[in-house]
Order: sequence, then structure tokens, then C-alpha cells
Amino acid sequence: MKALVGLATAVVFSAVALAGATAATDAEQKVYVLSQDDGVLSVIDTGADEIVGKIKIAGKPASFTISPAFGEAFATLPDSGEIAVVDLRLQRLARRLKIGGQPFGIASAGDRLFVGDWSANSVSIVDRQSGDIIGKISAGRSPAHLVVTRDGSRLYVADREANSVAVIDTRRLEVLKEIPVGRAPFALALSLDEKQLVVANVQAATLSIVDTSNLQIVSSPTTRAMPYGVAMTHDGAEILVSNQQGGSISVFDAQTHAPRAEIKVGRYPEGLVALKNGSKAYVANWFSASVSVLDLKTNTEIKRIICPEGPRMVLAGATER
Amino acid sequence: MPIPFRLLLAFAALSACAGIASAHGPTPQKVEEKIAISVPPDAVWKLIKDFGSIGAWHPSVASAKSEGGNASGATRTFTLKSGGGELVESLDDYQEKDMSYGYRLATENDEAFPASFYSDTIQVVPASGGSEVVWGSRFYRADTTNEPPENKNDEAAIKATEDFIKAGLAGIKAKAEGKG
Repeated sequence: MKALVGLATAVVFSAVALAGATAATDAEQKVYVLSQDDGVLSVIDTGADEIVGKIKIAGKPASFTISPAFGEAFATLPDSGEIAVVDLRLQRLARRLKIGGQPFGIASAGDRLFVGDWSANSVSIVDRQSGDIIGKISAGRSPAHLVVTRDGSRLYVADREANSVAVIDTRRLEVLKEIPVGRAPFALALSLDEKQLVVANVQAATLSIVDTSNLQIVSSPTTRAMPYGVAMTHDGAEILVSNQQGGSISVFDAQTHAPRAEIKVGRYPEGLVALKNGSKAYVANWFSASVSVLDLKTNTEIKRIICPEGPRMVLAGATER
Repeated sequence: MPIPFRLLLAFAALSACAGIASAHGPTPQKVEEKIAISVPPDAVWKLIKDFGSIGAWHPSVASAKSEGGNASGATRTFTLKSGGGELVESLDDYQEKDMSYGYRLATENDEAFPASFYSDTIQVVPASGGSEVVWGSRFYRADTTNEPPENKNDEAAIKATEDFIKAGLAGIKAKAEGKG
């Protein structure tokens, strides 16, 4: 009987995972932290809030994305023009894809990776297995982070030096629109329903909140100085913004766009992510080489986990089975 | 201070021998320096609390002017004794009760300073025997492509930042202790 239930659960899990969503409960969910200076992807068990694994990625990995369906993480190596592919189940490097250029921001959908080239001002579509470049699209200047819709059809790119967000049709390889935002957009977050895109403009100290149905900016709330990272809670109720200069996280109401709380974290925080049930969030404190664990019910920092040097990005993964 | 720089050179040489690429992509660098000062924190804070006061205590600064006081967005514009023209910095985060402020490079000028961007934080903290000033910087080299020339690479940016911060801290100490 137990085996049957287990089997049924496994089937449900795989089906959901293939649909691009994740069925992990928070107890099972892992959080991954990429440390650029030490070249390590650390695995945090979110039950214990401790690092339970470290995967060495030779070089200076800048940014990464996770494919829940394949159980892989893809980290960009701007110095060597490569993408390091990590098998998250085995917790080891699976392969390195040589794509050339200066890859920085990365997103994945299905078999495809979308990779920005910081100095060539373009985005490449890359086969996740072979590393072959399937297509290339010119995009603004200095593409920073990028996000793609789950079906892989539409890509949003923060063009840092162009002060805009490029909206790209990935099938026609066309830029649909360049949305002017604030000065120096760097990080992006797409709501789970994909209806709202949040852009953090570092130099302007604003967010640009975009309605993805008409690509109009609906609101531009002011943030603290140098908003370097942005995330949305899974229920879409809150926007979390890391304030690099003040060493804090601001919690915004995603409906009213008003700030609700500010939580002190480590120094020079960058990337952050909320767990799927919204109970906790994890913040990469770049200068402090630590990860802050936030309780989102009380809006307090409950733990600080020491990690390898140069953490810039954190993502939540699916369960490991 | 010759020791850290020598270490840096040794590391650079080692990297070259090991065949590790010396050019780095858009990888931010960090420097943090501290100095102990034998006067109470309040007195040290009074000396540096005005964002525009850098010309009064930093020995490498030739001239400085400022606008906007200590409000967010205030700027200070200064020249260095080493030349290269003006640097403009803007104030981001001012915490009177923590005796701390954070600011950034507002206008890039790699003739004067070999970084394309930096954001710094300076803070006065109580310490036994007086106080300590902690100055941290996060920065990118002047040329962020994969093939920067020697004067615009990570090593150049790290050295310039270390030198500037150390000189500034020594200047604060000298002034605060009445020797400047």
C-alpha cells in the first residue's frame, strides 16, 4: 500500500515537474547559492537552514538558473565564455558548454537556455545539452538579468546601459518592444501567473512594474538606495527588494506597491528568493559572504548562514528525489 | 602598505604560472580597511559626518565641493592630487545613529580613478581605547570586458582603492588625534 502511494506520488511529482512547475514542499525544497569569487554552488537545506552540499565550479560563475524538469542548474562564466551545468541530484558538475563571448544573465525553458552577452549586447538561445547556439538576438546594451515565460515564448531582458527592458519573441527572434524603465535596470522578477514583471532600477532607486498583457508600466515606486535584487513571493502578494547600499530588504505590497517593512540583513545584499509557501526568504549578502534567512510572517532575520566568498544569487529548487 | 600589495603581486604571478586567466568578467571586487583611533566615536564622527567634508581630512584630495548636505542624492565633487580631473560621488544612505553613510561613484572618470563603478560605506564604531573607522568598497575595474589593459584591470582597481582608503583613514586618524 505504501509502495502504491509512493508510486502515485512519484507520478504526480514528475508530471508537475515536466509542466515546469515544482511540487516540492518547503521542507523538501533546497535553496542554491552561487558564490562568484570562490566558484561554488552551495546547497541549503531549508528545514535546518544549513549548507548541506557544495559544488565546485572552476572560474567565477556570475549568474545561474535552474531547470526543475531536468534537475539541472546552469551557471554563466563570463571570463571563459562558458556555461557550467550542474546535476542537482548528484550534486556535481555535469558538463561545461563553450558558447563564447561574455555570458552573464541566464534563463531556461524546456531544452533551451537564454543567455545574455554582457559586452556583445545580444542574447543567445542555446541547446542545454549540446551547447549549440540555436539563435541570436540583438538586445540593448549590457544585458543583465533575464527571465523567460514557462513556455519559453517570451523573454524579458534588463538592458542595464540602455535603461530599458527588451521584450523578445523567442520564436520569431524579434524584439517586440523596448520598455524604457529607470536608470540601470539589473534584476527582474516575473510573477507566477506571468502577468506582472518587476524591474529593479539600481541607479534610479525605483521599481518599474510592468503589466505584461500590454507591456505598459503601471507603477514606479521608489526604493531605498541601489536596489540590486528583486523577487516575488509565490502567491504574488509581496515584492522583495534588496537594498545594496543600506544592507536591508524592503517588502512591498504587490497590489498597492507600497512598502510594508524593511529588514536589516548582511552587507551589500544582492539576489534573493522566497520559498514556495512564502514562509521564508533567502538573501545573498555579497560583502559579508553569508545568506540571511528571513521569516516573512514576522519580517525578521532569523539566521545568517556563512557561505563561500562572493554570493550574488540565490534560487529555490525543486525537491531532490 | 607594502605587504598586501606584494601578496597581490605574488598571487598574480602564481595565477599566471598556473595558467589561470588573469582577465575577469564583470566580477565585483571588495576592499575593506579599518583604523583604530584613540578618541571617542563622537569626536571622529564629527570630523567626517558631513559628506562634503572629504577635502578637510583626505590627504589625497586636492579640492572638493559639495551640494545637498547630507540628504540622499547629495553630491561631492573632488579632484585628486594625482590629477585626472573630477570625480563625482553621490550620497545614498545616511545613518546618523549608526555613524555611517554609503555613497557611490556618480560619474565615471577612469583618468582620475581606475574603476568603472564603486559603492562605499564608511562607519565609526566604538572600540576599546576610543574608536575604529571601517571603510568598505565594492567596485568594478575600469574596463569590464574580458581583455582589459593593465591600467584598467582588477589589480589596478584593487590597488587604487586600497591606497585611497588607507590614505583617507590615516588622514582621519591624524586629524582626530590632533596630529593632522
